[in-house]
Amino acid sequence: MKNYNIYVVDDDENALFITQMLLDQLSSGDENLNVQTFEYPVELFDQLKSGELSQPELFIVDINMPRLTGFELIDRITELPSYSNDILIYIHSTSEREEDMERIKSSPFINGNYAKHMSIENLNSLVNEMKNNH
Amino acid sequence: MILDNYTFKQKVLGAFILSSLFILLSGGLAFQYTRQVDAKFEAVIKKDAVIIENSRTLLKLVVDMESGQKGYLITGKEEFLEPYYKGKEKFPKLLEEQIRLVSEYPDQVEKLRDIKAKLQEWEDKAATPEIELAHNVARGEMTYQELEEQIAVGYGKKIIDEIRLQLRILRRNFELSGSLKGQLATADLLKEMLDRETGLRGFALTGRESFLEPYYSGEKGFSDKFVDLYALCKGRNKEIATKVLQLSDRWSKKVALKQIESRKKLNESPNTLEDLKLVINEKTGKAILDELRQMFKEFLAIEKQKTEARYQDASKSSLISWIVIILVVVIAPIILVFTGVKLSDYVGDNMRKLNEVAKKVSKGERDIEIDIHSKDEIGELANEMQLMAHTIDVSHQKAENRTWLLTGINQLNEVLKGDHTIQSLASVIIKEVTSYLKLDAGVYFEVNSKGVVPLSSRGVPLPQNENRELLRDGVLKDVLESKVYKLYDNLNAEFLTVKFSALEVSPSTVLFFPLVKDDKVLAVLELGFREHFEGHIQEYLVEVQNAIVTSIVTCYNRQKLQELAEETDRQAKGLNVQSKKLQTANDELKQLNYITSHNLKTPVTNIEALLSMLNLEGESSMNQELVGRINKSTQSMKETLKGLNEVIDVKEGYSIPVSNQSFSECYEKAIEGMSNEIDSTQAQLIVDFSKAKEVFFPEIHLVSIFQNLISNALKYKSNDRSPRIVVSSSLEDGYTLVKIKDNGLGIDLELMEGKLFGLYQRYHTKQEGTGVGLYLVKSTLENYNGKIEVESQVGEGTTFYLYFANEEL
Repeated sequence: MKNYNIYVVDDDENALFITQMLLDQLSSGDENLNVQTFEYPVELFDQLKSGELSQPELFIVDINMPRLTGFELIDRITELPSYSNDILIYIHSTSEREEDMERIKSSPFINGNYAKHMSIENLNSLVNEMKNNH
Repeated sequence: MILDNYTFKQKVLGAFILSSLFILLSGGLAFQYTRQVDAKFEAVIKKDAVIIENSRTLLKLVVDMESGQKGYLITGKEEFLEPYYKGKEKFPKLLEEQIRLVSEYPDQVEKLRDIKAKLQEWEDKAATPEIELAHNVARGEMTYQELEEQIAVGYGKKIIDEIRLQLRILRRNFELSGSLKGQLATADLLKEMLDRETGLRGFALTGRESFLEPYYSGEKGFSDKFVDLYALCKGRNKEIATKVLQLSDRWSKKVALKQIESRKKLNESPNTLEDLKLVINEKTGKAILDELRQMFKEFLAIEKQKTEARYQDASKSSLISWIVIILVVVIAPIILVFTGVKLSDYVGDNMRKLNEVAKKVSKGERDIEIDIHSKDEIGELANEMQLMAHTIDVSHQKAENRTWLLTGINQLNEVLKGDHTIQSLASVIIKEVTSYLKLDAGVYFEVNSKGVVPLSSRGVPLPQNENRELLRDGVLKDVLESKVYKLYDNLNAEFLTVKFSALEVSPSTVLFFPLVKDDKVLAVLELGFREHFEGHIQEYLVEVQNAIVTSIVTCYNRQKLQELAEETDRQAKGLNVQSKKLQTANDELKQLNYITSHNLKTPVTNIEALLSMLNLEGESSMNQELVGRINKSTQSMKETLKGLNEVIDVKEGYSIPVSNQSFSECYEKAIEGMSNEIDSTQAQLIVDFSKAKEVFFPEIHLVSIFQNLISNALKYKSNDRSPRIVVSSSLEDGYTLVKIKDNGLGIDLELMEGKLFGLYQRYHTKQEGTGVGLYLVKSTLENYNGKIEVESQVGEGTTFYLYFANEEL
């Protein structure tokens, strides 16, 4: 039985709830998807930094968040020594700003981008990618 | 000069034609002379040769005639006469020709005629008679021989013998017949016949007429006797008798008459050889011919003289022709040179004159007179030049006049510039116009609703009331009505005294010049001058009228505008405050629109996702329908939001220009509309942007941020103290930091639980506020990757930290 850690970061409670529900549906048999949601990006970063939390296999991050934006969070996370290249980072946002799209494309750490909310099929393919990675 | 009426070309041509004509004439003359010389020489040579030849021929003919004639005389042979006759035929013709040849010399002609006469004399006196003589001699000789021959032939004897025979026969017959009568008759007849024959022979031999008597009587007797005989004859005898008669006739005719004729001829030829010799010995002919020869000699001698004369004549002609040729050769060039010199003098003189004039003209002298009056090209040139000078003069005067006018206009325009009041404008106008026109006095009247008001004057005090009344009733009224200028040069002394009493010298002429705009008299210039009114003054006034009128109108308009502007300014000041407030509200609304539309997206997408996850199995159809309707409404809202976002994104979000902004400029703009609050609260604002002067940010947002925070600081001031707000900038770890610190009420951040910047969050319930300001400030900064932080102590004050991202967006 293999455990996969997935961290979902969004300042909107409902968004977190929806994503968690969908991911729960994808857990099957001997593969357990361990999903954790974070409403405050600073909180997540602090826990990762302190080692309270280990690095997951997959990050799903919103962009527009108070205090710390998705991009800033990713910048900080990837600077941590615990970060490794095989960790998938996906953006999940309502933003359609060209500027944000450009930033996603140009970032070496961000693996892809989905418009909120992604379908179960999209989420499934994302999980499969994660599994293939590990 | 007579030549003045000809063109230059005609003159040159004329001179050359004249010279050429002279040369041609002289050449012709020389040619003629040469030809005459030639002809004379030729005449001398040819004619003289002919004359001499002719003379020789003539002499030869004479000699021929003489020798021929002599030869004839000597020999009596006709052939010797041939040269004589030939000469006689040819001589006159040749002589005539000779006469013709020497026809120019009457004495020679005379000589020849003498020669001719002499020859005639020779012919008449010598040659012809001698020839006649010789001729007769010869003819006489010939007749004699002829006679002898005739006799010798014996033809007559034969006929006589026959007649005898026949008569014998007849006599015998008569004998036989026994007719005595017959025998006698026959014998008589024979006797008669013999008489005839004897007489003839005697005449023929002697030539004496006496011998012819028996012949003639015998002839008569014969015919008588024959008639008798014939009457006796019968038969055969008749025949014989007839035969006898016939024979007798034949003899008469053929022998007797011939011999008589010949003998008579012989008798008639008077001359004999002896006569001839006598004549020849007389030498008449020789003498004549000698004379003739002498005459020829003389003729030739004269002819020789003539030849000599002609030769000399020819030589003279030759000399003359030489002289003529030399004259031509010498004079023709002299004439040509003379003509050339004359022409070049003429051209040169005139050119020099023209040149001097041209120099004068070029030096600017304008009063010129060209002393050339010929009608040729040079004359025309001179005329043109005169005209040109005149034209230049006129244009110069015009230009001077024009320059004077333009200078006047420019000068006036110069003084009209600037912001004049009606009063100052009137003053500069009257000053400028009178001084430019060098006038003694002038008054500027304004025409307005109050009537005609004197505004300014020069050289004369402003007319007093009574004078104005006088003017209004008098001349000025005319000008106002007619709207054209009026000139008064015979104004009465009283008027002038009243008008210009302050002047030492009263002007003799006063001009009232209305300044008319759109058929309305705006003002009247009254100008007084001593000199007579001149055209250029009028020109000047007409020219400057527009400028003056325009500046008057501008002045009026400016006054009105100024009044209007002052009123507007007063109103605008009030409006401005309102406008600033509205602007702020509007900007906030725009930002709110932008941010809320984006923030609404999250809940809408959440609802959509949640609805799709809702398991409706086993739910009542009512619930299913309700969820379906919620779904539809959500979709509709999502679409609306999407459209709204697109519109806002295009209109506002990304079209807002971002550039380097000066903090102090934006700060000034922000507090512009807050002067009332600042004044009323006695707020103290301390601003220091020295550490960071600029930031890369949209201007309207920066101004809006300052407005929000400073107005908050003023709004939430402490009740105990007047506001003290410190605004400062600095550079801080990748950010440009602006700190806004107040000494206001302060915020209990614990109580707010981090919701201070939320939408519609209001901390101070006692104060008015939309609950939007801080939300907008935060959202705006975050939109441009900045952030906002806050520190606050209740009762002490609040400090906002505004972080502007340094990197360009």
